[in-house]
Amino acid sequence: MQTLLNVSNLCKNYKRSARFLSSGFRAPLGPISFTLGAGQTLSIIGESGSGKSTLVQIIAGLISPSSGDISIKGQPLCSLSQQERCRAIRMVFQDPSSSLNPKVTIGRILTAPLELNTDFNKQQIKEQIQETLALVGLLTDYLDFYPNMLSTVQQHQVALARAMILNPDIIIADEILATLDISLRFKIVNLLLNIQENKGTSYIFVGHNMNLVRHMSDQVIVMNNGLIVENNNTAEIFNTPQTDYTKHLLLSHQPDYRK
Amino acid sequence: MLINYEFNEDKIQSPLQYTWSIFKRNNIAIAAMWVAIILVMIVIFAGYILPNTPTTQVKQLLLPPYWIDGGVSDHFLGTDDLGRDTLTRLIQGIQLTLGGALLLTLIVSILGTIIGATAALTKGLKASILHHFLDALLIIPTLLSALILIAIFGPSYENCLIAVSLSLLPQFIRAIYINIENELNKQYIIALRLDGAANIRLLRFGIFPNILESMVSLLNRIFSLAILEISTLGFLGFGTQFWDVELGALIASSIGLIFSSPWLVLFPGIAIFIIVLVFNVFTEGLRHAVIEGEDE
Amino acid sequence: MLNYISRRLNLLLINAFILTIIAFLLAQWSNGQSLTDTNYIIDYVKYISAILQGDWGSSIDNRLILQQGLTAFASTLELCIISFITAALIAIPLGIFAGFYPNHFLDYCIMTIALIGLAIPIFWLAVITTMLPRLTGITLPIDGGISPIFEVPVVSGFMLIDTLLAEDLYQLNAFYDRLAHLFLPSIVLSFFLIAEIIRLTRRSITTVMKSNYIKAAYANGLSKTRLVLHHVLKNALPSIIHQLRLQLSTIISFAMVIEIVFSLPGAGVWLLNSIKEEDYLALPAAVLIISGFILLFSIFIDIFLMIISPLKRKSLYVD
Repeated sequence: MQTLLNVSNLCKNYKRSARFLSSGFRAPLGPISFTLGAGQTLSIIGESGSGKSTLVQIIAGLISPSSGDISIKGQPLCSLSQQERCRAIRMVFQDPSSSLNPKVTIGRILTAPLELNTDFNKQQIKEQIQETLALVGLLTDYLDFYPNMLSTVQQHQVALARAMILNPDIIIADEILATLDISLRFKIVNLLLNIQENKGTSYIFVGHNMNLVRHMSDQVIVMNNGLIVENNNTAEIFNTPQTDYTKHLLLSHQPDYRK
Repeated sequence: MLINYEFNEDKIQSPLQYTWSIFKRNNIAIAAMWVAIILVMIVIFAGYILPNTPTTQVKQLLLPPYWIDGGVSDHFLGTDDLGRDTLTRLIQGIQLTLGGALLLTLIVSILGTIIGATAALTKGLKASILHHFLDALLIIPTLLSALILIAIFGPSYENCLIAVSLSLLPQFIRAIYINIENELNKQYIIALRLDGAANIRLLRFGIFPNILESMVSLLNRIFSLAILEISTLGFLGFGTQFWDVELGALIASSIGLIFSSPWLVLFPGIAIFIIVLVFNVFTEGLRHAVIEGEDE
Repeated sequence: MLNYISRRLNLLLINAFILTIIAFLLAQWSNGQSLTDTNYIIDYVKYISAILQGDWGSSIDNRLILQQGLTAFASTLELCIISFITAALIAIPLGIFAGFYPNHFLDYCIMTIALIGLAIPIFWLAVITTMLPRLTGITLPIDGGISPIFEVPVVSGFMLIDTLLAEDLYQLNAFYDRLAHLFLPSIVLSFFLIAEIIRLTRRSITTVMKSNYIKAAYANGLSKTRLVLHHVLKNALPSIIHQLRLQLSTIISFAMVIEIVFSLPGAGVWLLNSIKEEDYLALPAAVLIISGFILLFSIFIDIFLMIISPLKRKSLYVD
């Protein structure tokens, strides 16, 4: 299996600045190291405040790390241009109703990444959008719609289309399924798995629902206090958890009817 | 096809068109808009529609308006103590006051948007210094800062405009700054950033469409304050000098005649009142339409 | 708590520093000195130490600027306070009503009054009001701060208090005379304030009324009066006070204009006369006194809000 993403000794320290007008203190992250193979799905679990979101935001490029290296296909991430980085890693946000600009049509939302990161002409952009919409299961009629005209699932599909439109190697999904109804959740899960099958995209999930994590992922990272507690393949984590923390975490997410 | 033409909605409206369709239902706001347009027309074409030249003096002093006993139809709103036509001077006053305020609002909004947006998009020391500097400027009352600037530059109409714009600029920058700052934390802006959008694009497509409502009420506020301040400074005698008379100065010059000829004081005041009222009703209607459009 | 207050004080120091720089530049300018050939850091330190020792210079007619400015500003403040109390007593109930029954007929009436109050040029309203006594036949003074027959010694600067202190001289006549002189100006100022407070109250109340805890309170079967007193007002007041704090400088501006129209001795008349006599040393003094007051008052209000409102108290813990 080819290694796609390699994170080594990643740290993020929030120093409490000496000035009076400091913006407070936050727990540090790291050092963190892990690898992710191509076409694999990695899930990050942990209690809230354990640094999951910070970690994925660093990988997505929203926060710059204090130290450590991230490399993708052997190339360090900092050596890539903004465009190359966008084409390699895309992020899907938790709540599509707040991550889709309410004042802009779906068409514009999908065109923006293509305009900014590729040299496509109008025709190519149109084709790419049609192809991506078909991939996520939407009709092209929706291009003239505004986000608030769509249902939640359709908004999720659009958000996914925005991520997929550049054919990225990795998609980061920050608890995207939390706001969905259980039946609709599976629609999106199946969609994600289909895309992975077709395109060979790698996923990094931040998840709460242990059953879904187990269903979808190949590899699981358990985080606590900004550090990796356990990093193993899914079956190992769920069947033979090594640390108490992982055991508690898994237990707490067991639905009552299983008992 | 998803969109079939059997339904009434044959075309998807953009937020602007939708806002406009809501706005059109508000009759009072529409009326206010037309009055506002007429007022702006008066400002632009004042030179062509003046009934008399403002400096012409006739023998009949202190004529009352046409509809009151003793009024003549030549001077619809009467004449002042030097025999000048009140309507002519009123129109000229509207031109100077309203025109000045519109110009000033335009300049302040452009400058304020540039400075505010730059400050909001840059982090660190520079933004912090600007922040505190604006804080300090904001606690100086606008009248005081206008008086200070007038004292430094000397009284004239142009300086009056400069003083008022400089005293309103901090308010505008601050409001824009806070609005953009709030907007920058929204997820769709972060998403647009991750698309690789540069700052200009971020502002144009991400931020400005979403702060429209607060922009409208901010512009309205700045405009109302501008009108009131220009006329206040004029009233205090720091605005226009000699023959070019703006509405506040018009009131001040006829204050002594308030009992013999009260309309000389009444008309300019009513003119200011109507200007501010009409623009307020118009923008308030617009704001409501924007809010309503967002709710649905 | 201490951390919060220290941060507020820190802000105060930074703002005060910028204000003194502005005042210093103004003072330099009014003295006619150019900054280029002198060392202005040393000049600034000298200026500040003089200010701190109370040596603010004197005006053209050889009166001490500090005393003059403080007395004038106290008079302005007196006008503001009286108008504010009147306006708050009238406007807050109206605003609550309008916010409580939005789109009611009376709501429209109240909001129309508010709109008119905001659109009317305040100096014009003052000029028109000066006509009132003559037109209605009621004798009310329309100029001056107090009749010249009373010579009230300045103790606190607030003339209402001073006239009370001088009771042994004129009994309460001087006090009533002062009240009569303040009557019309404060009516004009409170007209603006009423409009502003109605608007703020209504907006704040409608926001609170939309929230779920009010619906929950309704569902609990609370009566309307109890609802207003216990839930709505408690949540609406902090934001009203906060908004009014931001309006403070506008209120003082308007008060100064009204004083000029009624020739009521105060900061407005003082500044206007100084500028007309080209006695520009009053300008830096005015910046320091008026803005200094607004600055201190804002911070006081901030701390007060933090004590009464749990929402603002959050900022104690956040950072």
